[in-house]
Amino acid sequence: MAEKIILHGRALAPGVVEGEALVSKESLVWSHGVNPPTGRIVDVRVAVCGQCVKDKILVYPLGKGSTASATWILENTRCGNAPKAFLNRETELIILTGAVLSTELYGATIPVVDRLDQNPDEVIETGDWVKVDGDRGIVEITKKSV
Amino acid sequence: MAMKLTPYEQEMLDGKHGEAKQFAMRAMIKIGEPLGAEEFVEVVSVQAMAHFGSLHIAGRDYMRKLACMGGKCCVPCTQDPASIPWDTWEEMGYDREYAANQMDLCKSVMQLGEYHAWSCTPYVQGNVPRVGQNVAWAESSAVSYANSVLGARTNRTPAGLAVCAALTGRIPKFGLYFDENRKAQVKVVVDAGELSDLDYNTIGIIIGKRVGNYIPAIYGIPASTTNENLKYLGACAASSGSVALWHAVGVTPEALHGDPFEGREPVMEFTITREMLTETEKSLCTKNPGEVDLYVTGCPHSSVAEIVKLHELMKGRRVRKDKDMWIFTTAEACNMMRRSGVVGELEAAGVRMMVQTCLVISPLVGNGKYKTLITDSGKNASYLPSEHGIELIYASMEKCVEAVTEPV
Repeated sequence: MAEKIILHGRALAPGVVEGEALVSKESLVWSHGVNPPTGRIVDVRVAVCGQCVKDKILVYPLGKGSTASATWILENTRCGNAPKAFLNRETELIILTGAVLSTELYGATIPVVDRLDQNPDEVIETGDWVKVDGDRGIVEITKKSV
Repeated sequence: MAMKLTPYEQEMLDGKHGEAKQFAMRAMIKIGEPLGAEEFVEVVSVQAMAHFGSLHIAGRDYMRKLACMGGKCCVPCTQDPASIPWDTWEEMGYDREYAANQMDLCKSVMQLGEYHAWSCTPYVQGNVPRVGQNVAWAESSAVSYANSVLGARTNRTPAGLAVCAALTGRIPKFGLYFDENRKAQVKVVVDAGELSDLDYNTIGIIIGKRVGNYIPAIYGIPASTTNENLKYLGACAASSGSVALWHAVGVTPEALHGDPFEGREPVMEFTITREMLTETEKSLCTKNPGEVDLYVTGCPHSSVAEIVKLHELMKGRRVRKDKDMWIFTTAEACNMMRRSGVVGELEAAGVRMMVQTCLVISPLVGNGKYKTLITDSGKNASYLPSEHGIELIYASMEKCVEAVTEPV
């Protein structure tokens, strides 16, 4: 039986989804940092450059950079390349706006949870299977088998 | 917990004042409530975004939708630079479809009642909130200026949310709208002798990298410093970090008197020395710059005083045939300088005025024509190499001018 970890945090955007985690130890900038038509991270300054965010449970510490980023997230949604959920130490207004507008304009469900009882970018590794309950702020992690 | 609404806010949410206001209220409640906002604040102005380079098709369709719903701004609303120069995009070789999308966005936001401002410096265009007033501004450099230099109040309002504030005159109350969240947290001492214009950029870059999203109080900035220098300091701290508010002790309105920390211990403290400035200046240049082919200035948009300074430096010089020089600025500054005869002389010397647009969000760089840029903007230096994959040299305006000009 694979190891399971349960974390509790602040539920910011609703919905229940599960999928594979993509974890960045560094903060991500969406504006010019993720290419909407492909969903690929193109910011050469981060280690996850080249990875695709599509359908991933995207985990990173904080949002930073341009206030234009919310509409970059929205365009990823329009192109079908949005992540399934966001998990942050502290979610910025930019990320939450991107998720909420994705719901309001495209009917997408992108739960967002932050302020978990452990730092998600330390507990979760890329490839782990993660279930995110954005209604209750609960995250269930199944570590990938090694 | 549900946000407490005034009767008028409830009417907007119920759709009694039209579909667009209803959409905006619903979206803002979905964002405000989980973040802990208990109510809305009224805002006196909005800085929004409508550049195609960041709004994309999704944002274009969103603005169209709000316009079709009959949305109208109820407070003055300006917006960031456009992704194309309105008058010269065709001769400069911008893609036709891209330009059409930008013009479509322009049509929608004009229909919504936004002003044809297209600048990252709305505070020189009459969008000037007073100390203590609430606004909802996007554009990290403008947010920084509004909070820090003007003493107005705004969070880093995202594109897409700012327009909701413009349509309703409201934004959820949290973060920097509260007095207690505006106190200094980090102490920064600048001890580097006399400061040049470029130094203010470099100081901002260092602060942004070190403090992330904390609120710094900066000691050692002279009271005689210019608004332009404060503009660059703030823009750079917002681009290398997420600084939305900083205080310069004895300079900015919330740090003129008393203790900016209000008795609390700083969470961090550091000194910026001349050596650090020199080192950071070097680090902002990319590794393998070739021969410079373009000088760009005006990020954030050049003010009248900066155009005058550049004009002085250009006396007796002209842009070399194999190089270009672009000044990014507002329509207002360009117009005044044209009437002053300055723009005519600059253009005759080979300088191109880039009005109401921005390099960072334009498709023009990175298409192979320009390989090595030189700039005196720390914000350009921190965004362009990663976003457009080009080589860049960061240097003073004097050195930049020298790099692309020759004596007449």
